[in-house]
Amino acid sequence: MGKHHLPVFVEQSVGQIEVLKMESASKFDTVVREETHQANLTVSCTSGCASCCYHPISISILEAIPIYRSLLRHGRWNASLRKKLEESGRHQLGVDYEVWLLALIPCPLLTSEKRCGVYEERPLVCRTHVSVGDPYYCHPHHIGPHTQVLPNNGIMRAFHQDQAKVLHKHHLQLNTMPIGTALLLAEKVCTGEMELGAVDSHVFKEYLENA
Amino acid sequence: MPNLNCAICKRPKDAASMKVYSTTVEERRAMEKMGEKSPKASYAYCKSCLSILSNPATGLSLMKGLIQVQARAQGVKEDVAEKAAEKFVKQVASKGTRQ
Repeated sequence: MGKHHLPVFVEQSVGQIEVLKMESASKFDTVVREETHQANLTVSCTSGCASCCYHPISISILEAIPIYRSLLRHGRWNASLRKKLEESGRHQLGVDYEVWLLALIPCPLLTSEKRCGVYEERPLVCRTHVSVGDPYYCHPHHIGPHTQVLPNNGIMRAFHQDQAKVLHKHHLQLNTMPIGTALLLAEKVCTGEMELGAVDSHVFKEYLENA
Repeated sequence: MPNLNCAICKRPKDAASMKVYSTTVEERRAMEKMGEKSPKASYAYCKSCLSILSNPATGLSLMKGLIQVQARAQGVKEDVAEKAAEKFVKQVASKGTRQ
């Protein structure tokens, strides 16, 4: 499993998204450095906090493929993880955003030690979630006017626009989907069980079933 | 089929896909004591919210979160709201294990 080679033009797109992700993350790091310096703020994110890992995470199929490969390479892709991803994906499609936060549903890749299971490969949306306030207010039960997170809308919007252009080459329109769903579909695409172009219709069907 | 609003997420959903629970007089009295102005005779829950509620881990977190949010909206201090929510959730959890 996982030895199936994707067509060259698909591999090129996966690589293109990876480069875009790293460039965007690097740009955002510069913004964080400048803004915290100018406003005399301190980044309060620390290892093991994980409050932001209780937000619903959505990624594209092309962003999911390297994450799936990393999990496979490190021997973490197994039946138990698949089950977690399936449950998480299904929930995320049907559950209201606020209910998700209040129910403290963790990212399916968060380990029991509250560490990201794919830290090196983590999605851009996770890389650009930076708190500069009291971490107490990052907890999903305490989010409110005191929560201070640096805005990442600009970087994410640009990344989504670039992704949309790449996805369009493969006749795909849907930009993002729940991380659990995206990783399970990445497995199907990487093992040759599903064509990349069939991903949208599969997700639309799941959306309809869970709506 | 008429639509019903989910008691948790407030989203309107097809009544046929929802689960409706009736409340007893005692439950309504208890709800009034807790600050609910006009408790209803029944509450409808959508499939998604019910699956969250019926899972012990997420269900208790959701209840705790909802209480905190509601208490804060009524002007209750952050730490007081948190303690009250914790106490309520502990009571619910202990009842759950007795059954």
